Amino acid sequence: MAQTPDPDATLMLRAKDGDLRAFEELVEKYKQPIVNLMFRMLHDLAEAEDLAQTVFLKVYQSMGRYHVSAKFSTWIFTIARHVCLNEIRRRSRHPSESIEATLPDSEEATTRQYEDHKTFTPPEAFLQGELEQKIQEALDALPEKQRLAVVLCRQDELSYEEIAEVLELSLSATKSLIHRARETLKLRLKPYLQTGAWEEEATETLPLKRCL
Amino acid sequence: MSNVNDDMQKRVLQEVTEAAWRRRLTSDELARVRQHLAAHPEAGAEWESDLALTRALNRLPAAPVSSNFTALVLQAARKTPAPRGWWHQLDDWFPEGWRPRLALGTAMVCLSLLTIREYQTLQRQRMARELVGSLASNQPVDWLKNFETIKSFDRVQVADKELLEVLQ
Repeated sequence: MAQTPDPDATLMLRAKDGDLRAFEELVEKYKQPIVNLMFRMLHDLAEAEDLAQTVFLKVYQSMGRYHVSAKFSTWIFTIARHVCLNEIRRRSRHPSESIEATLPDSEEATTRQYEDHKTFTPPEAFLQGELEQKIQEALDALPEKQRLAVVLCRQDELSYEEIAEVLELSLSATKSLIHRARETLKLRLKPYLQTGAWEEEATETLPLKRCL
Repeated sequence: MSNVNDDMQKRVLQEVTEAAWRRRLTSDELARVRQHLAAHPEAGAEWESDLALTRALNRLPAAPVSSNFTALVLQAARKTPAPRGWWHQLDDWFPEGWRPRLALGTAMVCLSLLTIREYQTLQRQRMARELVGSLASNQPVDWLKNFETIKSFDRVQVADKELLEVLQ
């Protein structure tokens, strides 16, 4: 059976041939998931963006060595994982230093432009902010591998098999890691999960009352 | 039999649970969950808490990305040297037109090595032929006529005591 070519790999091969537009398309497509990953892992927006930029630059610099042997998404998330874990290790060695101090063009940080995002009404914003903080705290308390597994599990671009590849683990070990992380999160967030604060709209996946 | 069914149902539920961690379930998957929970109401609490956690994680907002993020990445990319394969990077180390020269040089070296090897083989063959020829023509074969007698000296088992005494 003929395999469908990975469209991202096609873009990457075009970029490898010097097509900067193709590289731009890849950056546009993956910037949000990569920044999300970095932000959830480090909980620092400025550093998350800097590290995401580092990931894309590494992709750009490694184009010459790129071969279509794996999906592009798996490849870029593997690079992101290495960059992220290196940063976590660097932070543990030099806790007071910011990554911006180590980057050559630190003026970039001051030129970032943010668009207005979703706004909440005051009580909703308060509740949302508090609950988000609790989840982030629970995530931060997880061992880094479990945290990474949970964050990668939320990426639509990756299947379980690809998450396993990024984490360099077997499929069963990956699922077990996610399961353990989720059990810890459930335990830590128990009071918040039981308050009903997470009740979704009628369109939610499974109407529990009906199935119980 | 019921144990086998239970195991199968648990496995199916596990698969559906893992799917629910990542995406909305299909109506078929929901029906399977309902079926399992109807038979095992004690599993309901676990399923509910799992689903609540998934909802909580899904409600985490995406991190804002600066609108000029792509521009900044491209700007930094333009500053870095253009990506090239290792084969092309050799151009930095060698003068222009090094590829055909290298190919010609390699071919010449190979040809020279082959010629030297062939010459050495022919030389050895010639020398061997000369040696055999000189042995056959110049050396007399008389020196071989007492060969068996001389060789039999080694085979004497008992010492000649009389001869030894005379010698002493």
